Amino acid sequence: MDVTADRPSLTKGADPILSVRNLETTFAVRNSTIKAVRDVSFDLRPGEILGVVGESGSGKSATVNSLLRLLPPPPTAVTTGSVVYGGEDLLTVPARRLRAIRGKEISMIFQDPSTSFNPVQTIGWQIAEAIKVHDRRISRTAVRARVIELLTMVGVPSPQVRFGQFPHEYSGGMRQRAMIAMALANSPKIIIADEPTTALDVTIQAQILDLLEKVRTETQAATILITHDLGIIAEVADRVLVMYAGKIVESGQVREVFTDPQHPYTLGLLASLPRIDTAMEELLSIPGQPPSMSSPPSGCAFHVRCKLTQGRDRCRQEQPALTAAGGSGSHLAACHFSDEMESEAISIAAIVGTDVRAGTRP
Amino acid sequence: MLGFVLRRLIIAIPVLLGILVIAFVFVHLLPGDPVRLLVDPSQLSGAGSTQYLAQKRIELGLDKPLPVQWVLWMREVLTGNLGFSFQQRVPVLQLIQERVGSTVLLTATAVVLAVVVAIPVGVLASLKQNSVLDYLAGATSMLAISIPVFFLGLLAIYVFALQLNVLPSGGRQTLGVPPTLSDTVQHLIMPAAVLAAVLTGPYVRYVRQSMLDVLRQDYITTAVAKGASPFRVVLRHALRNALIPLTTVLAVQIPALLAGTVVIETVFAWPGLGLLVFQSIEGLDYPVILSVVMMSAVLVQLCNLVADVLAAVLDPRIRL
Repeated sequence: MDVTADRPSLTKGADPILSVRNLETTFAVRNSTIKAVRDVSFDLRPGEILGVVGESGSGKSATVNSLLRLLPPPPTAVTTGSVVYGGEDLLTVPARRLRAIRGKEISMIFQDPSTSFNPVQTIGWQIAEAIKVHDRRISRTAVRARVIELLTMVGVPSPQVRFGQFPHEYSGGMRQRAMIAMALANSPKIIIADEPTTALDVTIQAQILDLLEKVRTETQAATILITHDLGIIAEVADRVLVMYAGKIVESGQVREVFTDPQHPYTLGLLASLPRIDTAMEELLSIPGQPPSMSSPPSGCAFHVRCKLTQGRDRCRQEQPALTAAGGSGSHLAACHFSDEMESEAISIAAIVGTDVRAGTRP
Repeated sequence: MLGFVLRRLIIAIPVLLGILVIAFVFVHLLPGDPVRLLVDPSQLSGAGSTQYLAQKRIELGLDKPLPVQWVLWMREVLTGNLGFSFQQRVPVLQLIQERVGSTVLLTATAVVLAVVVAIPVGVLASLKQNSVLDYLAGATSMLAISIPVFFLGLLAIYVFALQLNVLPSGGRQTLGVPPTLSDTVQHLIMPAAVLAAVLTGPYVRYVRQSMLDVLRQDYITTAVAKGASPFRVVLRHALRNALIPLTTVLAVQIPALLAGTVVIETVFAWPGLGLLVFQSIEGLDYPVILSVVMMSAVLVQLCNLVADVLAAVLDPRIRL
């Protein structure tokens, strides 16, 4: 994992294209409520790839689905806070305006391409629909030409034939390419990719990631890339948000976060990666289970699994704020004892046999 | 597709033969003697009555053993001769031809009514799940399922024909007047509506459930995320998919509807096949009963075949 190489930084100092503040999403389920997203704030800058990483159930998908109001309407799901795009708050804009933004300025790539396409319509029809709902007067031939162009761009072979085929006639990787083509149909400013490679084979994953990077280079669209795979973040992302129990626990440039993690959860994720450079009997895992989101632990939600806590009351009682950590202004972490991270990393290194932090190996 | 249809038609042959054997046996097991119902009651007693009845039995071919009767009957059926009605002394085919139009009119109207009502109601109920409308639709369809159809028919006659006097209580046309369209429609409304209610009740629930299943699917979220309007999402994506199981259910329900027509046509004196069957069973008119049973069996087979073909037409994943 090489995260120390310099990234093309087209984004320094630019105003954010999307500004999320104090996002809270709560689901009402039988007799209880699940706080899936808790006080999440972040900025997305033009042209960057922002990775969002965390375990299953950490609120990654709920966060991005909240942005475009794709969750069930209240009272099932209630979202508060603000999502400012182009001077408008997406959480409060009228439905008609939101529809004009969805798929046109902000588009989504979903996790499972086998269930995310309508099974009874052709792929061509479905990509064409993404264009036609935003441009009613476009001619049939123009739409078809554009769809063929998109399919060619994402590397679907013989697009003329593929245009008229149904989703079940595509392989998984081809479907995900078609999904990306659909997301690109209107040259969006922002692409949200929710675990775009999770349902695919490893070899296909690599192709899809290459495609996403190519898309970013060609379209200059800012991308939010959700994944639970740190390798993918290291591979393609510029910045990363680490989520735990519905909150952002650490954020910063990928290089900063991976070489100098300031939250024990991030370090735990790095330590649990399989490695080929040391001989280990079994993988190191973070002890315990992700917390129940209907009643998250008091104080720091991670304290019940955290080795840094060592029974200290502060972790149990006081929610740590996301504050500057690790020296650079862009690196934030939500841990009361970030200053003990260095020694923690060294103690993990003693177990694993090598420092799990990226780029610090001798 | 053609191969599939041919294969299904060939498989249908032994099934039909089996049904005809069973029907034949059961019809002859019905209590009562058709000969005694046919003849003048004065002939049933006194001197020579036994010989007379035996003579009649030979005339009707009822003296032969059952298997022989069945084979003779099948031989005639295969040449297109459905036999003569015991009671009405006319060819069964002619009776059926006279009646089938009325029944088709009645059931087709009922199916159209049921679909036109059930789909919008079911779709709205699914979109506004657990709303007042949803509960109202659920309660009404439960009511339609629970009330016996003959009672619903009598209730309708009582209210609309006797109390309000806005619709005729039965028949297909006003007697003594040349038939007009509006007259037929007036006669059709009540039986068709009651028959439709029988179908609509469960169908609303099927539509609602099918829509709820589809609305949960990932591709619905995809459509919303594209910027499609709610109208478009519901019609072009959700309903289009929900229709696949609904078409099958409807096609399979149509034969069941025929059973309903027996009751409805009797209650409303609607001159269709249902009424014919009812009268034939009362009069132990074997040839008529058997012919209608045979028609129903063929219809069930056809409807199932149509259901499978329609499913393949609507769902590109199914290849026949």
